[in-house]
Amino acid sequence: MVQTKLASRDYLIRFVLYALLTGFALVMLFPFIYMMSTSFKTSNDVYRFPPRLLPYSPTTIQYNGAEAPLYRFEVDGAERELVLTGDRVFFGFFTTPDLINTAEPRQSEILLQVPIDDAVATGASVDVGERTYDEYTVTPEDGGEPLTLLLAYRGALDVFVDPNDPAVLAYAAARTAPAAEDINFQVGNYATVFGLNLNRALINTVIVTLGVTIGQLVTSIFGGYAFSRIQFRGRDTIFLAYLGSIMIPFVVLIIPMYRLMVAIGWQNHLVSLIVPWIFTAYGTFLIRQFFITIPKEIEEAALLDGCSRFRILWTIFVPLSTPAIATLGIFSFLYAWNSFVWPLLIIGEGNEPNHVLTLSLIRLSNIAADQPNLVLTGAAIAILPPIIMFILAQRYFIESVTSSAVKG
Amino acid sequence: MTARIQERPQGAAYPPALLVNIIWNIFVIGGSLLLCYTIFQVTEDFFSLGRPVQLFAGMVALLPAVLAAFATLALLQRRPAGRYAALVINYVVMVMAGFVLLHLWGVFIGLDYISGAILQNVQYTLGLALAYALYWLAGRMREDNPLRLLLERVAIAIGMLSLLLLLWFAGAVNAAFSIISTYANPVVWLVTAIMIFSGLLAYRILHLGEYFGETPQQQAAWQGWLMLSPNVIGFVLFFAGPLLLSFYLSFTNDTVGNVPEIIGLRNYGEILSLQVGSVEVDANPRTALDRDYGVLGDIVIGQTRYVLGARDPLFWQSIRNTIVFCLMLIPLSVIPAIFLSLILNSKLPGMKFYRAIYFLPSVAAVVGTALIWRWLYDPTIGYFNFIITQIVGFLNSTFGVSLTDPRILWLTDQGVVLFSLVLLAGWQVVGFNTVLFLAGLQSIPQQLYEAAYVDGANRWQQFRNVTLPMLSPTTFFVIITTVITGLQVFNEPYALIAARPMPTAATTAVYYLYNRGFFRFEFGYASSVAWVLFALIFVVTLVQFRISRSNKAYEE
Repeated sequence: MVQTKLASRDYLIRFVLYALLTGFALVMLFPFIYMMSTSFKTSNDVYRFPPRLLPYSPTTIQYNGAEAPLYRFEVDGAERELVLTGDRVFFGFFTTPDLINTAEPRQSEILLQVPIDDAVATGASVDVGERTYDEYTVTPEDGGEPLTLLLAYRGALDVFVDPNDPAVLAYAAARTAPAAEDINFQVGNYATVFGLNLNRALINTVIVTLGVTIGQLVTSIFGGYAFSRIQFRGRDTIFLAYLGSIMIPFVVLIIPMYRLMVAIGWQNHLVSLIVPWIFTAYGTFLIRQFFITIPKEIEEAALLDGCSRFRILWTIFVPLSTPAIATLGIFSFLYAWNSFVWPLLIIGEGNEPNHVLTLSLIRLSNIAADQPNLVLTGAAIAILPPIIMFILAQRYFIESVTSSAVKG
Repeated sequence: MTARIQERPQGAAYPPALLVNIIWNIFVIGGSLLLCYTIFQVTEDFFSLGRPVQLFAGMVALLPAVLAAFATLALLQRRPAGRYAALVINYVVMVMAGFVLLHLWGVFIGLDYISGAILQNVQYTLGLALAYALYWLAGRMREDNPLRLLLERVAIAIGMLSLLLLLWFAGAVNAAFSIISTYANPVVWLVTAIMIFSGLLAYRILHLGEYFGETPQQQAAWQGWLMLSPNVIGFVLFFAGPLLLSFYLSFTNDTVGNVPEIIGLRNYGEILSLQVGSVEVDANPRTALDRDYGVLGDIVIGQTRYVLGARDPLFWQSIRNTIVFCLMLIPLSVIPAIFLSLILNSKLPGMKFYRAIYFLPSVAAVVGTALIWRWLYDPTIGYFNFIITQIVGFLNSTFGVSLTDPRILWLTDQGVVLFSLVLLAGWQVVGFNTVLFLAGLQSIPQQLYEAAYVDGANRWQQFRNVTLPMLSPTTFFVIITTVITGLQVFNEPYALIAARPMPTAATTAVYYLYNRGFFRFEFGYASSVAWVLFALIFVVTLVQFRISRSNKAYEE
């Protein structure tokens, strides 16, 4: 754009632009943030509504020699964390006759609840609706005048106690009481998921990716050199056929390749994920395009000195084209690491020892269908290595995209 | 090669390598004939691929015999063509023997055991990681730092030691021993001998260049073919061969467990047959069609209902889904990409950072991201519905309207699920497209903007009259690649939607192919589907080819 002087309006525009970019960046990043946060959660925490991004888990302390959860209570107007003792106390729930729900006594509006042992029966009883309710004299806990009320129903409540001050007690049903929670990263999810075959899958993926990447680099460098630097009959025909093969979509080859692998006994084996994929028309083309730009004079001088072609390739061309080789390496790495269709067909979801990560991930999503924390931990294991690679070698990733569009 | 380059006295003796090769060729011819015979006799149904493939393989097996016969004659006449033929034979025999040998050694299948062995000895891989870290650290130090050398040596020592321990405990010795023990089988000896012998022979013949009066061009030729050979072998084995096989299978009724028969165009007929019928408005649309047709859709005009039917309605449905997917994906992944790239192209600081963030999703495996999105789409705990609920609640409370929370069933509602797929795919590809547009923008010559500025064009006019037209080739390229990859969409529905069988609304063309080929094992039918799909993709590619060519003409 043509330079203009900066006015306050330009600052405003800049602000809007950055806000737009940041907003969009958040949208792009959110699924990954969600993945990471879920991968550190407990399974219960995942199902909480409304969802939270940070991983929480119930706070527990040692109480009477055992691990016991803490709950949040308001005692005398102050927020306190009380521990669940495991004891239960029978409570009476008291109210006046007019507040009793005749159809469902447990739904009645309750005026007072005290331990049933603290209430004194008057001996009288009152009929409300179809039932008879006993009358009690009840003293409110906060110390008020004793009241004469009807016992609507009895029920057990859990006893909570302040671990630092045994005098502070509270009674509630633990099921509905608000648990005290801490931010707590469940790193153990990763160990669990590795135990569900992802450890093996990770190593298999590394093996396959290494094999494919190295193989593609070798064949592409040789092929690229022959296509760019050696004149011989038939070269251009082959080159055209090679370029044409880029246009053929993989779907056409799926079934015959599968039949071929079955025929030579490679079905279900890792080798079928490596050997057929080390030949790449795209990579050969990429390397050829780069080799063409290397000046001919260097090579001719070396040839006159009696250097063999392999030596020239290794000592001159390869060092000069590290950017292109890195670009292709990144491309092959991503391609092999993320591939899914072919492993699915040739290895299958059931053959666990030979799973690669993508397959194991699908399998995990089936066996842990109700535990998104584990599934997304698996997703993180599969997704993080390429992302780390990307952060380290960003330039070559971008290069590998734009190079595919060079001759659009 | 017919031109005699150098005259040699006819009576002179042949070099020994030549004589050996001539004798060797007789063995090659014999071996080739034997292989051909075996193909026709031993395997009856030929890997259940059918007689045509058997015939073809038999013919291919005869090729070495023909070539060897030719080579023998040409070598006797001392013609260079004989030398090349012999080279090709020996080289191919060596490579094939090498393959067979690796197979007999159990190397290919042995790859499966590596992960188990490493897993049991994980601690030593940590040693490798430590060694790498130390080495990296040493590389960061200054050259003259004495610590650098020490650190490097320690790193190498640790690395070597862990590698040795890993190899030892992971059973490298056992593996080597098991390779040696395969030599109890005489076939292994034979194959090894063939490989070494043909390799040596190829090497010797290669060095007879002077004898045959080799010109520099001829030398370049064999060097070129040699370097190209891995690619050529891969091309034949894993591209051209399968392509032919696919074409053949698409004309057969190949299924699992039976030998395929050629049934002509019947698969294609089944796939592509459409029928239009008409009935009265309130009649069952089904009755308008022949018995083996299913209803695709119908339309009422006046008092008649016109019904479109197909023999394979699910195929047409999947094609429709795929095309709708592409049509929705284009605006979703192209328009934001153009605007983002325009902003990123400004020379403000921090743009590389944003570019990197936008690019992140295209680095991640689709299977992984789809699983993330599966839970984002969850109707009860997913963030999509949560955010919609929040927005609806906000609108209701602020504006006093009474909108109902839609509670969208993203993955189970047949009307929504395709859109959910598009949203995921759009998110995944938009950053990739942004980078492409950015490259396109950066290739626009700056002078054009300067000229426009001099002419008094404002920002909008510059965008309208310079940027957009200059960006059109990139736009076109991006749209075409989006369509070509979109037409082959498979991973997204497979991983995003857990329900099986796949809901009809989310069945894409490749998923349909997968279902026919690998669930119902109708390989023949699925191959035909693949070729129909290929035809569709090819049309798109052709359009791209023609238009980009006319673009170039316009530029020149």
